[in-house]
Amino acid sequence: MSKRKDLKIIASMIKPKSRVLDLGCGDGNLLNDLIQKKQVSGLGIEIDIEKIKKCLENGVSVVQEDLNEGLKDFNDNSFDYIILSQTLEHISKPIYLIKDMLRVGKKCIISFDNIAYWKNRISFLFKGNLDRGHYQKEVVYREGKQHLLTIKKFLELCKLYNISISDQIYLPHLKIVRKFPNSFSKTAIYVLKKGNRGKIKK
Amino acid sequence: MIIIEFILKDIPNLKYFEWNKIFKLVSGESLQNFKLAYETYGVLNKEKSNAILIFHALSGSSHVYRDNSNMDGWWDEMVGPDKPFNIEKYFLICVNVLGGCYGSTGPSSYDQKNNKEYRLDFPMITIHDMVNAIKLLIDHIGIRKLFSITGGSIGGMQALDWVIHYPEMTRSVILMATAAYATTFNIAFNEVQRQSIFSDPNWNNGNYSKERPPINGLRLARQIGHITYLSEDSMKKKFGRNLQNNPKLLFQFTQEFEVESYLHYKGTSFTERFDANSYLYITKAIDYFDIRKNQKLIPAFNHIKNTKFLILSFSSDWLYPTRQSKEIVYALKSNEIDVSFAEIDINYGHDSFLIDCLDLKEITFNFLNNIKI
Repeated sequence: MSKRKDLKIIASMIKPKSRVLDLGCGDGNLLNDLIQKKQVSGLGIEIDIEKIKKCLENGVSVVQEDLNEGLKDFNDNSFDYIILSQTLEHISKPIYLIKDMLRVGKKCIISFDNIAYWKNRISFLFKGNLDRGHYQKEVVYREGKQHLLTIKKFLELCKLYNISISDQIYLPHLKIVRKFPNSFSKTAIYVLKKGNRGKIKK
Repeated sequence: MIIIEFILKDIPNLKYFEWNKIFKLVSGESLQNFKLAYETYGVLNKEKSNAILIFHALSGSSHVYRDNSNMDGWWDEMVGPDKPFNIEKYFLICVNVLGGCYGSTGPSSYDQKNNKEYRLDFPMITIHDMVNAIKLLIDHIGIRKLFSITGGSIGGMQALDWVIHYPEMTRSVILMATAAYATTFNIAFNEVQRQSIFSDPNWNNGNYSKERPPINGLRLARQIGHITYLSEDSMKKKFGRNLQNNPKLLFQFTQEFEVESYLHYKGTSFTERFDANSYLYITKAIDYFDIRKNQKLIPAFNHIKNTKFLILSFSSDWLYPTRQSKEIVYALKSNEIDVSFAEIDINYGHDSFLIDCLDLKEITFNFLNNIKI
């Protein structure tokens, strides 16, 4: 299992024997863990062929697809959970994908790194660049991150598009982080729910 | 086909399965009996749980692996020790299709009724007939559940037909460069290939002599087919506008360009190893292939439960392009069937599954390796 803390928390949210779709599943570590420990039936979506090989090596079923095209090949409500962890940054039309996730999944879990994290702010102020420890710039260029998300921006978008958030977790687990997440949270996790308010107007 | 008989003598591993009861065909016609040529590699374990059935493509044979013969196998890249289809771990079975010309009953076989070659009296064969004949052989070997089945191109069509009809006998399926039905485009290319055989006077309504087979027609058919198996990019890289033998243009109707001479060579060598009538029957079987129900693919899979699928397409394949593989993936997903899919980025066109390709090997190996025997 990966050491990434957000993945551990996401894994703890999943009910046993559910159907889980992991968007941008990478090596399939999260799904592999869920299959082993919670007997879920999982499917990964990944675009990189090397990572697809790893998924299959890990015994995780994976379909090669470009998430920028949405989830057009998936039926409504066909998964109990859809996970989008540290992937939203790569998506050219994030709202379009989130909308599709809410159509296909009963619950959607999204995690991303908060660019407004205080270490980044200081780094910006003094070095004119992101904090290397927190946000490797090589990663930004190599993997083509397109959206540098802040918690504030994400919440604004949800409000604008009527996306209802049923749960949020801000990391690290500290009181001050919960109080001022946009400044002190390194990684944010949201659970989005369907419902009347979850329906997004075009 | 004197040459083919000669080829078959060179394969020590070749076995025959004979069926002497009436065999009903999809067309409504039937065969009084038939024979299948097949080869097996590796050892079938005590539980009979390690068998992989490999379906060959249009011009293939049961000779999937070189082993101790003097002849290259058509899938030596994928079959052998240390290969994805590991003969030290699995028991591999490959059968020449019904209607073929490598030992199985086809239009060049003798009809026991009148002791004459069938020729065009051979009944029309479909992919499902090929599969049903092989099913009898698998039953005869005593295998109740296949560890996996696989095939590329029309081999993939057979694998699809197999899993739809015998899902309870199939633990996993690997499909390569294939489709759930022949498209208009596929049928069109098959038809021009058949027309080139028909147009050869030697063909003589299928009644050609051993000494004078319709070489010109079959050669042209294969040349057309061969172009569809390649890609524009791979042809450009291989031949460009290079001239054959001459330093400059001759302004003559000879094979001036390298690509012309290559196609001629490929076509000619094919006529030495394939029966023209078999080519007609097998291409027709492709045209008939369509597993959809009322033009819908999703219902075709709705009874499949515990079979794992791996579907692979190749980026430069324009005969059975990725979109056709994705249709299958979509239908499987819609039925909540366990499926993995990847498009392998390679420029060798439709025939990519036959060449040495690391991505193909690694993906296939990893997929099989994760299923417990």
